[in-house]
Amino acid sequence: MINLHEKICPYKGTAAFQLGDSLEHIRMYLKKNRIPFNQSTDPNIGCTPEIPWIFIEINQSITLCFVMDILFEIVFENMYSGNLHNNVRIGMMLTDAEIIDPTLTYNEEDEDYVSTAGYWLEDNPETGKICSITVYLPEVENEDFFSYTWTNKYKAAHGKPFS
Amino acid sequence: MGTGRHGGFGATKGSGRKPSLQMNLQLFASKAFEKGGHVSAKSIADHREYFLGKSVKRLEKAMNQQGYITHIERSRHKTSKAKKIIVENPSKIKNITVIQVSPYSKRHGSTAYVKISTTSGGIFKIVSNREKYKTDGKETAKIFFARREKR
Repeated sequence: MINLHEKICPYKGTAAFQLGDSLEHIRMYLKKNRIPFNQSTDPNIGCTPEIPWIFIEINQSITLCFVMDILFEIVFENMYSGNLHNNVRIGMMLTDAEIIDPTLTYNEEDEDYVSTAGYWLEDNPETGKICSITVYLPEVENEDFFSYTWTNKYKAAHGKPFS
Repeated sequence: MGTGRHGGFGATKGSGRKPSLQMNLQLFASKAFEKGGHVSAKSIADHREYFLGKSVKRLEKAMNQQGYITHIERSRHKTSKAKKIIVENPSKIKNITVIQVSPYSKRHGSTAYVKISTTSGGIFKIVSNREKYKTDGKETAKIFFARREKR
């Protein structure tokens, strides 16, 4: 079974799922450990460039997001009980998280809270509690993120040829 | 055989009305956009429904017809369902910088909305369904609700 208590590290991921890993490696890990998952694709029709994103959802609590076979974003929600490095966690009051991390700023565009420490939080406006935590690769913050050329660096680290 | 009271064969039925309908739609679009592709609080408020019920691609096409050079981006945040039309040539006249289209959101409820950001800093949000929209008081956008709600 999947461990839903692992620590969440910004820009890195968890012990099981490391940002920058390949889709192939993660699928092998899940199959080897008999962890059930759902895989889906958003073809990003009409976007520039029109490159699909692939999602692997585990236990309705972890969503792994891949582009060009590289894990670039992980969303933790629902039953995930692992903490961030600063002990911010799902189910905590957002107001308490804002005291721990004063850099948390509301992002009207994406309707969540952004920390300069490398994570995003979503809260439930009705309860005021944190309902999701997202960590991502540093390249996600870059202006040229959508060029996806940065994926070559990670492919090279896996010993794969550049595409 | 003959045209009878059904107005003739399929290909010709009603064909005389199509050009005027297309002209009316174009006229409506040109009112939503002022001269040179400019938008104002008034033009958006008066023609708010124009921006709703359209695909991102169709809205982009309408902007391109006004001289906007654009591309479409999805949100980098997986948790957001929004897609954005990013303007590459904004100016004082072509004053739209981004149009964001959201089918629904956890935060604002199960209603579609379109958010228009402008060079002057003005942000306008057009919401499809007033009853389904949840606000949290954190928004800086001027909100317009559709007068005839799309479902």
